Amino acid sequence: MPSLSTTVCGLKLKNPFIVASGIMGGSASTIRRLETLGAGAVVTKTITIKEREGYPGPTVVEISNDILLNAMGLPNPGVKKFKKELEDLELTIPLIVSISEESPEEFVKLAKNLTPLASALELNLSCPHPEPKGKKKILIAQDKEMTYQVVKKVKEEIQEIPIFVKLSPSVTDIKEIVHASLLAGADGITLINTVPALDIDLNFERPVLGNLIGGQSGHSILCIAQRKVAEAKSELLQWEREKGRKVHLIGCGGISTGYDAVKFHLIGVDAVQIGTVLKNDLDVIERMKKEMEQFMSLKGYNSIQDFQGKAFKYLENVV
Amino acid sequence: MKSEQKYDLLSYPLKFVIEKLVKETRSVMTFHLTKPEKSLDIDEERYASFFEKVKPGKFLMVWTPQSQRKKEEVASLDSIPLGISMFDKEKKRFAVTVKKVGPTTSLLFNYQPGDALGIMGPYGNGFSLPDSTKDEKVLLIAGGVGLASLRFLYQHLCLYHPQHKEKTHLLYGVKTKEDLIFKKEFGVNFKNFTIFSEDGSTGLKGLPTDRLPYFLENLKPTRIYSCGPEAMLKMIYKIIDKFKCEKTIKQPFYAEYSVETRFYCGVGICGLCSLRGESSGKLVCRDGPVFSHQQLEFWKGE
Repeated sequence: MPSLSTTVCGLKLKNPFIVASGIMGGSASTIRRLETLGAGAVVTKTITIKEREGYPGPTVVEISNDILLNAMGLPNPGVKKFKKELEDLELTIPLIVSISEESPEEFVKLAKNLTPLASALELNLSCPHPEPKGKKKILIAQDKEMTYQVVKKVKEEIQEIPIFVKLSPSVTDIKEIVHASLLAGADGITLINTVPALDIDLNFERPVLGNLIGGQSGHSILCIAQRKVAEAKSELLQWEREKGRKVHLIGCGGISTGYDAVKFHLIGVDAVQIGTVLKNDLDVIERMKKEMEQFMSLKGYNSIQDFQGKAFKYLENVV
Repeated sequence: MKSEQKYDLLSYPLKFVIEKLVKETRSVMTFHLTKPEKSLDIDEERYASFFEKVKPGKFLMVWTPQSQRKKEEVASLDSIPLGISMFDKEKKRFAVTVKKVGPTTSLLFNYQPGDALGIMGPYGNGFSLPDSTKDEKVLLIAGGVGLASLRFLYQHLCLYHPQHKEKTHLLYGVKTKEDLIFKKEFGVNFKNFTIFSEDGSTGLKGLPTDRLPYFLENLKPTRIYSCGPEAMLKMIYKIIDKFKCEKTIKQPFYAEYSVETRFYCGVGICGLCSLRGESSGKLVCRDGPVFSHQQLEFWKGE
């Protein structure tokens, strides 16, 4: 029987399927449910300093079986209530706490507050940062300098647990942003976040989301994600060659089967995150594990390391 | 993922037109909605799927995208979850009964017949229905505007299993006389009912739960459905639980509760509507909003 266990930044995972941020990770009971359902690890809902109501609805709409659009607006109870919610939570799997704010100082404040209950932190940089008036808001993850500042400040203060950086696909050059994260000392990179998207309702002749614009997820973004992940992998390998420090990579975006997850591992990720696929069926994690095992049995692999990165050699000079 | 399912969408607004408004109380309005006479071909399958999927206990999200009548674009307001109070599959009509509680519901109250609303859903599990091969007896317990969902359930029972029309009993509690909804239907649609008001201005003074033990003993229901404020549901739970434990009534009976909460994504992934106080992570939108007596066991200690 092939083994699905793996290690990411020192976190021992029974399997590489991590439930992504924003998916049932907002309360102790739902996190426990994800553990019961077989998740390798869970990333919490993104936590901010103050409680956030989130955007007006509709916050989630289905465009097709493969396209989900959302603009939730990071609804969360705020750091104080969230800590209380999780104080008695005991898990057998790692808990990665996702945090987001606008400035490096606020990120540090959150990081310090939440480190005691986290196995690792994931910095959600897909949050707009304040810009001079009249300018279009951009995300922290779209600005290499801001990305560097946030990661650097958090890394300076937190040494006990690994720091993952979650990146947006909506950039001209993902390698630049990955590089900024590496320079700042990130232990791991998670990508991709949802793809910026919009949908117009034909009957009401206006954007369908309450927030007007949002992010796309679902199987439709699988190949966009593979491409971005490959580009990031290229940057990580170069860093490893030059500095001798391995930085871990978590791939996500559109993963709907265990076979999809294998694709990301063939590019060279250390684990994957899943989200939208849980909408239709919560038992999907067990199914995905079986599919990955089937691939491994068929090919005669005993561990994930046996095929990790095998397809990257074709991409070395391309991405 | 079959391609023929492509337009069988669940969570995307579908356009319905307000046919008629019925003012139930000062703050409660029933919106009768109908499929527009003309619609895009692309939406036809979605309408068909909508009318196929609606069943008692499921809920809808009502979206108020803009004020159509005033010809002005107003800020998009939150979609709000609502129970279905009437449903007519043949005529492609249904009704939702809304209580004015906040800015979105207030905006909704400005809508007039002819205006369009965006409806998403149906979401959730719905009530489990009595076994038509057995001699079942139904007890409905409603508080305030919670009667809306139970009205649809009762309508459904009477339509498909006419024997329930005579046998079903409704216990309905309101704060005061002015809060009664569906006033004209008592004695006409609802054959057997007992109304309670907290101030005694109509029916019996007190709460439906005051007399619940009496009805459990004498009516001997096999199915009990409750919908209303959480405090009321918990009181019902405790009374029923006592009966179950003490085996005061011999026949087995089955109780279900429709739980209200705030919804976010509606499709069971954001996890923000987890059932308060429960430990296994049940979500009201995915696993509810209807929960069985057994599933709510944690209410015992509360």
